[in-house]
Amino acid sequence: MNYKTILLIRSKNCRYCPPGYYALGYIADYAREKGYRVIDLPATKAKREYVVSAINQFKPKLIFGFGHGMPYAFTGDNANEMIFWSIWDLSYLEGSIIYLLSCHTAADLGKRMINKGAAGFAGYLNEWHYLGTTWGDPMKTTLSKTFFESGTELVKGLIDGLSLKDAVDRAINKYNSWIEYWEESGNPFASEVIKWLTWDRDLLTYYGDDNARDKYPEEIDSCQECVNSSFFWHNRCSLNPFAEDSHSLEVIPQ
Amino acid sequence: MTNSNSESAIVFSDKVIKRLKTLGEYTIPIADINGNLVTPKDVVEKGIEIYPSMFKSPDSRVAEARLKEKYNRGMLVNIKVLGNEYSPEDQIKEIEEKSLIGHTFMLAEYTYMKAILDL
Repeated sequence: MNYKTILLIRSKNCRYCPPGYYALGYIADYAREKGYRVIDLPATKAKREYVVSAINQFKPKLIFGFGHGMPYAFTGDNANEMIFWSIWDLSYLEGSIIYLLSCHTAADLGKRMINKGAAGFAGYLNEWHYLGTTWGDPMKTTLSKTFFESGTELVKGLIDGLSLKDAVDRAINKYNSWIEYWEESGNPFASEVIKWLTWDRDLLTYYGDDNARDKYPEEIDSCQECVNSSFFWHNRCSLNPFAEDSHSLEVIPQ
Repeated sequence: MTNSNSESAIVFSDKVIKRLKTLGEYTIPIADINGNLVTPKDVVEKGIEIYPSMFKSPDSRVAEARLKEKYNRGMLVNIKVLGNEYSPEDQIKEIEEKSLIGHTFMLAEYTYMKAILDL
């Protein structure tokens, strides 16, 4: 298991997906700023062959996906092709923490992932709704940002080293802060925005170890062995030169 | 006042009343008492009593009435779900057809109502 490594599945060409694709782009930047290795699978690379290869090659501790979801499945750039399906062998996810910003996946798929050894899973029990007027970058309009900032806060918490439970709490606080914002906005449609924020917030669900986090239990902050070496490092060492120098990894589909 | 289950009637705080008025929710139904729809304004100004047990399970009649009232007042907006977009007209149609997404709209409305009432 590689710590401080995150896999991003960024579907774009499925219906109503572009805002999520752009929102996860901000997460890629955020992760890099925090010294993460980012395995970025955007648009047409958001498909099963790339995802499975990326996990097998790089064994990322964190996996964050955006795409369509059903109780038993999560799909990618092509909504007709599944990336994760409950009945497939999902044991390659062992040890990972997975967050799917996707409808319904907490109903079954997430539980199956935990049963196969995933350290943690977070997702939504029913449909994740959003309001917005843009098909581009959702962070550039307040209405869309409201939903996508709330929807991506959980993974930012994990990147910051929070436990799964604390990251979920941080996401809920983000939803609540936006609810307060709209409550005081005076916007004639504020009630609708609050309704769907409340809905999304209450559907956010997690399974697995409350304390699952992207941090080696005995993380070494200043490992001399790694400092002195140009070719060797501990995966758990925060001085891992690979993490600092190579922030983007190329996935070779198998 | 209490009901036969010894429950105390709900009294809205000033904060809740202010919120309901700000959001345009003060005159939208929140409960169904013997076939009569009751709004927060009725509770506050007419002294109609409502109790916590009335809100334990989502009431589809109340949810449907709320959404139709909001539609008539132009309060609904387009909603995007991954895979679909629903205009206010679409939402009312789905509710009337009692489709799966129609039930989702009603459940979301009821959940939201409880949240803004601090129930």
